Amino acid sequence: MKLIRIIPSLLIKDSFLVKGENFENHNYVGDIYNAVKIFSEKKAHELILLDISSRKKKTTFNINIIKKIKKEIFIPLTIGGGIDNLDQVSRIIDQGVEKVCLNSNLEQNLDLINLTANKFGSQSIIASIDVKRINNDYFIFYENGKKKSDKDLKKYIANLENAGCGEIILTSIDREGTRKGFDIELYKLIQNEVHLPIIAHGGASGIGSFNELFDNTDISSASAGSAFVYFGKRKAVLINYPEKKELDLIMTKYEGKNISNG
Amino acid sequence: MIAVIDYDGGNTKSILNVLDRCGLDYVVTHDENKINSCSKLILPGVSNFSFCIESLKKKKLDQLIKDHTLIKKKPFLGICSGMQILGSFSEEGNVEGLNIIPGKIKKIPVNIAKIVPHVGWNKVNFRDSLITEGIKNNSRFYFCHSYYYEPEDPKHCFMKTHYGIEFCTGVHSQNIFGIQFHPEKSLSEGMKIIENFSRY
Repeated sequence: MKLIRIIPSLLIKDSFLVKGENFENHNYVGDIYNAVKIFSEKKAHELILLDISSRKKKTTFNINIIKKIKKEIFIPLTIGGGIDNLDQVSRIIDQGVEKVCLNSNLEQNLDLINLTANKFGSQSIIASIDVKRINNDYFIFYENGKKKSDKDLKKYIANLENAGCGEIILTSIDREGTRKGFDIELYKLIQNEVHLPIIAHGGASGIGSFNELFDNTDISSASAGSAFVYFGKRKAVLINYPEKKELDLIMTKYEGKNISNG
Repeated sequence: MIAVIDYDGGNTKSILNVLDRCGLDYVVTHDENKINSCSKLILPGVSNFSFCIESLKKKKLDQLIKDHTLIKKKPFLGICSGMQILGSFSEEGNVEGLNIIPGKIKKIPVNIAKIVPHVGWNKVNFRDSLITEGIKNNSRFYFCHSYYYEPEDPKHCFMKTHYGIEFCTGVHSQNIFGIQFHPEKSLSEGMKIIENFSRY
């Protein structure tokens, strides 16, 4: 059975909601609090918030923003951006945040993942991996897609699982923000490498993209930004999420077996 | 007054937001006197089992929880790892639990479930109880865990979920409730569970 999750992932820059394409050209999309409230009211499965400006500013996600958000929403929340040590992880989780998203300093992060897993459990860690396709091969990039790593993708994913990571969000930089659909080949390539949930991210344009992913791969979780903040070809800003009925249909379709009564 | 037990191993903030939203009186504490003066106890939890048990022991809360649940018979709600510590033994770290509702905490079999941890909104089939009043059977709740509770006495299981295998996701014995999913992250149905418990 597949337990489907469809997760909006929102980018924050200098306390505002932004969205770009292929990790570049970020435009102002709106107010954070308004957006998260709408997603909570629309019963989004979860929510991921990443601060893309914190790494540059050598800070981590603003705790005051987290405090305010936590008062507005009653769905699981993941926070990422500039997290380098267990102290920062603890401060974020202490606000009632369910998971932290770790990226960038790849080597260092294996230790941090291990420390976090021992204290808060593996389920509290999502490792984020950003990849680019070059000559039919996939390469890991870090620091907002600017630096290329020499790590092998499959090996690195296995290392993350061994370090105690709970989930992996795998983003296709080539597809991010393009609404061209998920990179099915990428997810097929890595789906059998680990038993962890892998969240596909990059390229979703609507329900059709999610169905295409779930039909053609073993992946059961997917995330999107543009699809949930823009509407139409002209990219008018409109916070949206599948209606409950539509969502129930998708979930039931992939779920299979029912629970016995008892 | 509800005591939300604070022991470094919980995710108290989320639960407090829900208690606030429901307008319930609570105190966040690990102080013996304060806990004594409360009529109900909530033990939240998101952390690793052995870390949870160690933190409880360090704060001398292990015996206190036993006294309040087994002797004083106060209504108790354990959430996620706060539920699992009620068991006798956990495969997560191979450590002993508080043995309040005897049972083993086992790893979800990866070969059958395929993807572990079990994360997401899954259906819960329950036997009617005080805390499920007004909730439709087979409603979805938010799960996030790799281990599950197998009570020694099947009668203690009052909630079940299917994820590759069928396992127990709620234990109940008299005044003591433990639930594997997170009511504090499960929208209105989750809030209903907390409200029901507060009326116990």
